[in-house]
Amino acid sequence: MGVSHKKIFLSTLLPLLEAGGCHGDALYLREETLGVNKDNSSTDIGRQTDEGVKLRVFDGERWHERGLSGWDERALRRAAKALGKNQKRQMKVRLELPKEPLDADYKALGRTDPATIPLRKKIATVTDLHKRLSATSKQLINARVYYDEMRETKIYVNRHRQMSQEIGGCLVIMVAYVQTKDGDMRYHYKSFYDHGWERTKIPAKELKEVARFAERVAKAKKLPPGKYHCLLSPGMTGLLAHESFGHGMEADTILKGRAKAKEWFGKRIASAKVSIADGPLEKGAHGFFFFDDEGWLATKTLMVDKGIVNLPLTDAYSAARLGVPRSSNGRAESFDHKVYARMTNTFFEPGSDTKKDMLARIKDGLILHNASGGMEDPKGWGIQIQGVIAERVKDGRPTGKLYYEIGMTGYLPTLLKNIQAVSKEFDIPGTGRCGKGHHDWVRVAEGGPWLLVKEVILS
Amino acid sequence: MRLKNVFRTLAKLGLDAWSILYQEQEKNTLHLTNGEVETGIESVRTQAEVTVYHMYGKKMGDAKFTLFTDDETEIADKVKDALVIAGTAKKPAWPLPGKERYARIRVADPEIVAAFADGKNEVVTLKLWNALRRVAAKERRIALNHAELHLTRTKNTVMNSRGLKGQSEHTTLFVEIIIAARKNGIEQEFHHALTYGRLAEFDPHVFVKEAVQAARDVVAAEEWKGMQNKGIVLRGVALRDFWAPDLTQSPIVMHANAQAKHRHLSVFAQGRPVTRNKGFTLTSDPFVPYNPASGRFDNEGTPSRRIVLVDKGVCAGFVANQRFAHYVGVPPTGALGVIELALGEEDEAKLFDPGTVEIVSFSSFVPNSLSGDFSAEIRLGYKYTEKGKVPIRGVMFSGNVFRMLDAMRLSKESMTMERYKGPRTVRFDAGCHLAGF
Repeated sequence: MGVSHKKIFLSTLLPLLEAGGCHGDALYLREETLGVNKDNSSTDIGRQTDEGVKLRVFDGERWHERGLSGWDERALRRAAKALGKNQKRQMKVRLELPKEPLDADYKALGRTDPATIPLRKKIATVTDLHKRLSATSKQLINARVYYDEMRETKIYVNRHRQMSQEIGGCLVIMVAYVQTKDGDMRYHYKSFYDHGWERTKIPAKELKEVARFAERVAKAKKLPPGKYHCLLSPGMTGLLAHESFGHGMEADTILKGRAKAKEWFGKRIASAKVSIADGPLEKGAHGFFFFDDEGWLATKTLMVDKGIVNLPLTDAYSAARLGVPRSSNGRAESFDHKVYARMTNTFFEPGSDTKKDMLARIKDGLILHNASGGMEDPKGWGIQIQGVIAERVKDGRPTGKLYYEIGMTGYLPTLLKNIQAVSKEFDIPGTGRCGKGHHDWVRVAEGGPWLLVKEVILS
Repeated sequence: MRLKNVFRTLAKLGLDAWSILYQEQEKNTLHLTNGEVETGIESVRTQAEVTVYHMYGKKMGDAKFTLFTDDETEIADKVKDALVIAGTAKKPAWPLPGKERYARIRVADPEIVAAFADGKNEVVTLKLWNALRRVAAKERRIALNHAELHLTRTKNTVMNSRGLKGQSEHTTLFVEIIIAARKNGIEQEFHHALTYGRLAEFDPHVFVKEAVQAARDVVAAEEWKGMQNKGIVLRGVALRDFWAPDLTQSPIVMHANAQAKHRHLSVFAQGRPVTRNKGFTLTSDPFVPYNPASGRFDNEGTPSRRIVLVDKGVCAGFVANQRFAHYVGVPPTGALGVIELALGEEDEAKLFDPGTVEIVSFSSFVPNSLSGDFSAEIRLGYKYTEKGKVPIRGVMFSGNVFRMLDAMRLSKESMTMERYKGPRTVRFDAGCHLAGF
């Protein structure tokens, strides 16, 4: 059953959902992935699918929801009838709902839709990438190439809207494993993402860089704890934007009195060089979509506008309770999970300096290349980023000396004030998933320019 | 979707081998914001993960797909696609599990099962929420800003073409709250979340009291400055997260895994020391009653087995599914269970002295599973002084798990929580450090 049929059918459920006078909506989702995973010992290939429907009604105070897996029209009708028994209450919470009539279908499948590429070619491509990666260095204990192809279909309907979106994604992750002279195992990885198959064309230079960097990681030492003058890569900048700032701007967190950001709206947190944004419409980025899971069309939110804390990221409920404008950030992990205010693609906006000039300003410091992840602290605005890999810089030149598994900490407003320069070079390289705490995972991306920052606390 | 229809369709297709993991999950979740219900969700998930195998001489190809329907045509199409995949990913063949006997483990709470069967699951979660709310309401100068309760019942059935059939039913209650405490105009919060296998284990009074005390300690905590590389003690959820982290594998477990061994990524070798510390014995135990990490079998139906991974400091075994057990030449163990650490011989009071730092909660503990390195912020800890214990926070705890084992001391007092069973207190005097700025 195609998208059109499903759209029409879901629309027929609306009168059932709204029988009690509540607002109702329905979201169908289907996510299909093909994974090709090759290392020195084997090739493993698998397909996974998630499919289901989320039906909701809002009675003026709260959401009542049903989630059903697969597509079963009889079961959906029964569930819609059951939800329709909820009666509208006094309007304690007035949701701002998408009201402009819209019947639209959107697609982002890249220049070459991966569905048009035969499976054998995909496997051959991964095999070739693996062969080339392995050949770049004799020091690799193992090399692994993941190809992860995603196809996400969503249909949203309410009484004014019927919309669908189909988003493709091709993710390639190259991992190089090495061993230190003490016998410890380490690895380095790099990921590449875009909507279409064209992303799998990875230049030889990139493969060599993954392997060479891994060789250097094998020799990396521990960094003495301290404060350092640092040049943050776009990946690191993105983590800062996402973990240390973005989570604290999620409106449901603010609503619960859990976010320091509430004290800062309209106030200066950084110099005018600094703007931080979140937006689903960054083409080719991992957090891309056309509308959120509550039918709100994708828009960019400027969370920090030239140093001033500006707007939060919202879902319908938190926007209404806080009395702030809606943004397209209502997202759920799946049909059986709640919609929360979540990030999408989160980034510092580019500036006007150049990476070259910024590097030249470091007499004795570090380049922070990448990190494995981080954790939010919206209440305290503490910075918690782990697994940082750093490179020593002396007199404006990278020395090649690496430090491994560093933790980055500190107080966010202090770090933002310590930003000295913002590059015009810009990228959104993140390809991970974000949790609300340790649950409810959604795909996101993060990035930005290079940032020159003084007194970064590392240990 | 009916399992028997999926089974019949697969059986008709003349495949070399196949397996099905059929899952039926019912969930009721309640989401509270500032003490009010924001969202209540009832959901049902029924799905089957099918694996198809095809023989190519001594090699075997396999491929998985997911089903939400028992439609014969759709199944046949997916099998056809899976066979193409299997043909392109041949590997050395391994024996599939056959008819197996499974241990009896109590992991389904009759109370939760009945709640779902009678359609009273929402009533149960509301009742639990009201109990939490009442306890919190009696506390002064705190706010219960956030709460979530997830009640789940999952039935798994695994079958394969060799006649294997296994069934299990699990229940869980996940409770998460965030308590904010105020002192001298400053507000701090504490996040407290636990998963229980049965309702009887959940005491709202204890749960809230723990979180409230922790929140009060966080707001009173000093931001400790200095460096320390011994006398570091882990307890409570911090201890659990160290041995059985949530978001990644423990480095010990990762290296004690047959798949890592096969891939030449494990530094462990059977019979070789992992540490000089003969007090270190680590076991995977999938039979702890009502523990969310317990289970009768893995996704392929391989029976769960209790396995000693490290015995008195020496590598003794590997966690292995059927495939990697065959490749590496070890017994198949099924999935990882509860991480059990052998108890020590010391009273836990002896593990503390003036200058000891006790860590009870991390903001997030995510070690590098391969290298063993980690760096984690302490959400709440205590510095022991001659005058007593002083709460601290914001300190970075860094080190390498493997390098910490030699100088590790274990209490004889024990605790059991989700994913972990073992000493209630563990002290480290090497391989790690604290740094406060």
